[in-house]
Amino acid sequence: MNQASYSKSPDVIAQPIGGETVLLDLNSEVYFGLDETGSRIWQLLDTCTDVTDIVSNMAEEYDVNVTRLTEDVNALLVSLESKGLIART
Amino acid sequence: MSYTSVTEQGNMVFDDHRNGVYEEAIKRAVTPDSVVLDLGAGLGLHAFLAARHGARQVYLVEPENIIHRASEVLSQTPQSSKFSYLQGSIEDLDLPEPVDVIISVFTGNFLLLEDLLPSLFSARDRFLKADGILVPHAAKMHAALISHPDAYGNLVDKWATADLCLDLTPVRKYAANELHMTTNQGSVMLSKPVSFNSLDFYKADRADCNAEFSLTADLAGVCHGLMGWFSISLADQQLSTGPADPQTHWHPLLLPIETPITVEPGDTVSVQLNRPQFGDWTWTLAHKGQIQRQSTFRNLKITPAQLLRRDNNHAPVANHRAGALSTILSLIDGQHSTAEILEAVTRQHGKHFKDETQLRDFVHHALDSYTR
Repeated sequence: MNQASYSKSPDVIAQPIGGETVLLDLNSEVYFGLDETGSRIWQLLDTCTDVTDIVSNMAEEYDVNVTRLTEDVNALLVSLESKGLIART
Repeated sequence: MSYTSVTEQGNMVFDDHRNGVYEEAIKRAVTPDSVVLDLGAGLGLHAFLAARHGARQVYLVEPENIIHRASEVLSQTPQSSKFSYLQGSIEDLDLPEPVDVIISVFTGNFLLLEDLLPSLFSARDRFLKADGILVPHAAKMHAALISHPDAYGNLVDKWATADLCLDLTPVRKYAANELHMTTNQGSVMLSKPVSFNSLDFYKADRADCNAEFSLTADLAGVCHGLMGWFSISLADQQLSTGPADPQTHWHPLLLPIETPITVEPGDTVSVQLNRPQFGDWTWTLAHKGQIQRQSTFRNLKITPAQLLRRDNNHAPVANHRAGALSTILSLIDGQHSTAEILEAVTRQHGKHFKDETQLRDFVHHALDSYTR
């Protein structure tokens, strides 16, 4: 399992809306949308120390296969990192 | 802001201070050989001033129907033969000749509101002669720390304090993320202003702002945020719209912070101000290690669903209105009458409209947009 830790870029603003979240990257001036699950992962980035921590929180909340969940969480984090919205710490 | 009625135009036409500065600048810019473009001409006051000060030919460009009122007014003047009227956005129009002078009032409050400057830059690139003159030709933004209890109380705190049967407290945080037009009445400037984001209209090709600067408090007080305004240069004239300047139709803006801060003389507040062209305003204030970031983005003019539709990889699927529009466009051929188009849309797509009025408005809007 991915033990990496991530932190949000200080140049990103997030705004929840109806369970989803819109992000604005002040550097690229680009907007991003997160669905409900992505929004929850974004929230957990504030309190979780690493990916394992995020997955275990999500596993308690969602009735889902942990292997699949881990893949999905990692995929989103890699995508967010590639766009400069989060960084490895 | 809308510029469709004479009342709305009156706010500008009767702005004596602005008019005086513009007239001096126009007088210096115009010669008897000058061909002038009055961009966003409104009721044609600046076009008239250009003609009165000797311009050979003046083109008035105005997207709104108010241009017909300008024609009515200017046709009575001794210079009436000098005027040509073109209705539309400058991006959609062609002028018959290049121009020596472009006069515009394309500076919104705090310079960038309304996003009119990109149209000026487009007109400059397409129509201004190499040695042509822009009136105005440059602008700067200015900001200072402000204590403004009245404005803050009315525009922000009111949402949490109003005595209503409904608790509107959740709305307060959104009000703290908007820019508010205000005046200097009841306000105290806690710092000297700082100038930033100088734009040279001859060279600029973007109307955005990415500024970082510091403001040092001169006075002790409760800081409610920033006061922001702009100034412009026209020939050798200067026109500033700040709280200490003569009143104009422009307003200084209050950029509030969600939690007011108490500052002492000598305190430094670091400010970051971001505003992409056509985008959201974001202002960040840091004071004694505390950072507050506000943004018009918080009021979400865009939803995740809208974002998805703008993704380059998204394959859009047409809705019912697209079908109706397709029918209209297929019948815009110079052969079919408006009545025939209405009849075809009613027959093929009528069930997708609430009533006949809504359908008719849809058709008329499409005809306004896509026919000449």
